[in-house]
Amino acid sequence: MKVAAARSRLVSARGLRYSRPSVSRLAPRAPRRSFGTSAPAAAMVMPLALALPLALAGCGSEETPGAGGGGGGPATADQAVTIRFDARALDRPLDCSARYDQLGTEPVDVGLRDFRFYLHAVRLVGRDGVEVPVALDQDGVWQQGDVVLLDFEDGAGTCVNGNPGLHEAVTGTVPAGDYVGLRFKLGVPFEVNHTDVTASVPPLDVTSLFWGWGEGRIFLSAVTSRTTEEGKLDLFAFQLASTGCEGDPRRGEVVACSSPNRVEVDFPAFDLASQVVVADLGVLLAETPIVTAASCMGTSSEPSCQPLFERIGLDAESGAETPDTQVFFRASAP
Amino acid sequence: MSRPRGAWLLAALWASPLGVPALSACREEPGTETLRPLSRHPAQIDWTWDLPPGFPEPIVPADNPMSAPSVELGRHLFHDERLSLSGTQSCASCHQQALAFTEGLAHSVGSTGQPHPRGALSLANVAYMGSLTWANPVLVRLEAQVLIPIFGTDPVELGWSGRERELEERLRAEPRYVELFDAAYPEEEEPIAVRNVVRSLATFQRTLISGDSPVDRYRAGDVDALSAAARRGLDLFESDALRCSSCHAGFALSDAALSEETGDFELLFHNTGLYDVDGEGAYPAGGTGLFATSGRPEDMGAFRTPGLRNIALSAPYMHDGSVASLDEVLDHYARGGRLVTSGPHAGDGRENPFKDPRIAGFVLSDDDRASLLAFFDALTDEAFVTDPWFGDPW
Repeated sequence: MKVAAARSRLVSARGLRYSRPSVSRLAPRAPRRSFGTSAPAAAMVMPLALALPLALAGCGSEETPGAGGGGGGPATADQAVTIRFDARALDRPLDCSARYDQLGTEPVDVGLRDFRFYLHAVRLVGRDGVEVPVALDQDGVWQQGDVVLLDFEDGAGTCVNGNPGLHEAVTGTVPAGDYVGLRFKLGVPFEVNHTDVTASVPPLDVTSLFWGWGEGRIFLSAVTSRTTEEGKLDLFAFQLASTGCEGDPRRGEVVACSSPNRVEVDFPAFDLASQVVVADLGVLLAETPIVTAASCMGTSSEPSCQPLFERIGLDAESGAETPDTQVFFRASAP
Repeated sequence: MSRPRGAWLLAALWASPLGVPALSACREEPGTETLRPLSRHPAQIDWTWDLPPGFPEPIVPADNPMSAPSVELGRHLFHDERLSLSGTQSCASCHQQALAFTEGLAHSVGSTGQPHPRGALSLANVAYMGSLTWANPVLVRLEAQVLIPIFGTDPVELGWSGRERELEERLRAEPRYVELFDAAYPEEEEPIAVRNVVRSLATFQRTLISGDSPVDRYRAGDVDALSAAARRGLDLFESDALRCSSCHAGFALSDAALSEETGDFELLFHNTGLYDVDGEGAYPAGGTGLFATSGRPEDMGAFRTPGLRNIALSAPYMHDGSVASLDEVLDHYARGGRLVTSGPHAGDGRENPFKDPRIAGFVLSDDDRASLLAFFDALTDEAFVTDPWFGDPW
């Protein structure tokens, strides 16, 4: 049984452009869906609606508490939701093949190298103020349990070490209702953040989003690249992760982190039909001299981290959340 | 001889063309009915450590048990330059057996030419280390540490970040790996996977146990194993005046070691007064020790105590390789902290407010010094650094 299940997953994985490993040690989960082609975001809005059995959300959810709990009673009708995300550099879309000169504090010619982030605990807020979790579609690639990886780099152009697949929308189901607000958390839940990247199911198996020195995932990877006058590659990277973590040597596990660095993002007024969530690299880097500043990777003590943390809604020194300073995400017309 | 002999015997049996004559000795483990019966692979044969006298069993994670085929696979991977994206470097390029799996450099250089802020640490007895690398309380198992050289980007070492499928494809092209992975992980449909690269590299490293130096033989009862000078050096090392052994303690000569027999254990890191660049205890940027991850002021300059076997082979010393010789190491501890007289790191480490109070200084006669150096030399385990079981199998 166990072997057969592993094989069938492997076969289906080979159909993907961005193929992921089979993970025979873990429990079987939903079959993969082939949307590894770099389709535009609009084409990825999938009319799943009632076709998606609620039970699907339960696959592997023993690893990810909090997922799929909003189904309510068996009589509740579900509605499909698609929450679209746009990656921008101020007024321009982010693209691996484009050049930008308005990122950072001074005009400098740069390309995009990486722009990806993990979200979890995606919730909608009803008109009555009650929030319900979005039961994420378990697509076997980008969404697993309560965690979703949004990926805006297609491995082309300057996005070295990337992959062709894009994932620019969160899809799932909620009980039918009238929803007016959106909440989510940037990052990966502690329970699955420090697991072995080489033995994890997608989307937690991405080695380029694993910070080895901190033994956890990179929640947000925003990297620009440019070529210096001497012809050398020069990167500026903001890579957010939990810091101040400690492990238990006897158990071989990470047990606590003093700065979790997960960020609750709350849009009290968000219209699913007409709005998207903009993640803006230009706003993120607005106070950063990307030519001279040191990269902010897996730390908050580097001085360059201060404005970056502030703009995603964190205090770099204390690690506390500062929702009022969060400007990286905004609700907007598409 | 003090090495995991029994396990290696199994490895030899497994590797023999006659197949697996030891299979009749296999027994089924209770409660593991998902494993296949032992019909063709010895992977599930119980691993038996054959340890040096006084060495307890290391802690082995339940999800990565020791097995002879896994160790043998790990040895092949460890010594294979195809394990770097550029095909130019293996683990062994920097962790050289003849130097007790170090490189003799203050800064190793990765496969793309990027210098590393540290030199390669010795892997002797790494199975017992409560945490890995110099000051990282997060890295508490080898399986986590292995990911850093393979996938790390800051700095790049082997260069595989985001390219794990390419690594697997490359390994599949080597017929020997098809056999080795299948033997090591027979219950898996597709054993050539990055997770098994990691697991087998960890199991191989857990066999790198060094406990057959003259000092070890002396302690095991061979009174002729040490010269008179080395014996005197051992006494000094353990004396109340020098207090070296209060941190370089126990069978591993490190208070950072633990085993299956360890009781209460806490990860310890110490500031030894190597620097004080601002008069307030700061170590140079990029080498601030535990402080870099914890952010606690008192953790400034705190590093893990390294084990001392083969220490004469693993120069340069300290986390940043800033001490060239064991003679200078003794100067540092005798003074109770190092005085850096010039340059950007100038300052008196002796006055570092975060220094471990046991680093209080001592006076050494020339004879004392010579005795201690003789003792350090007698910590070299010749069998360990020449043993073909740890060497390049290709």
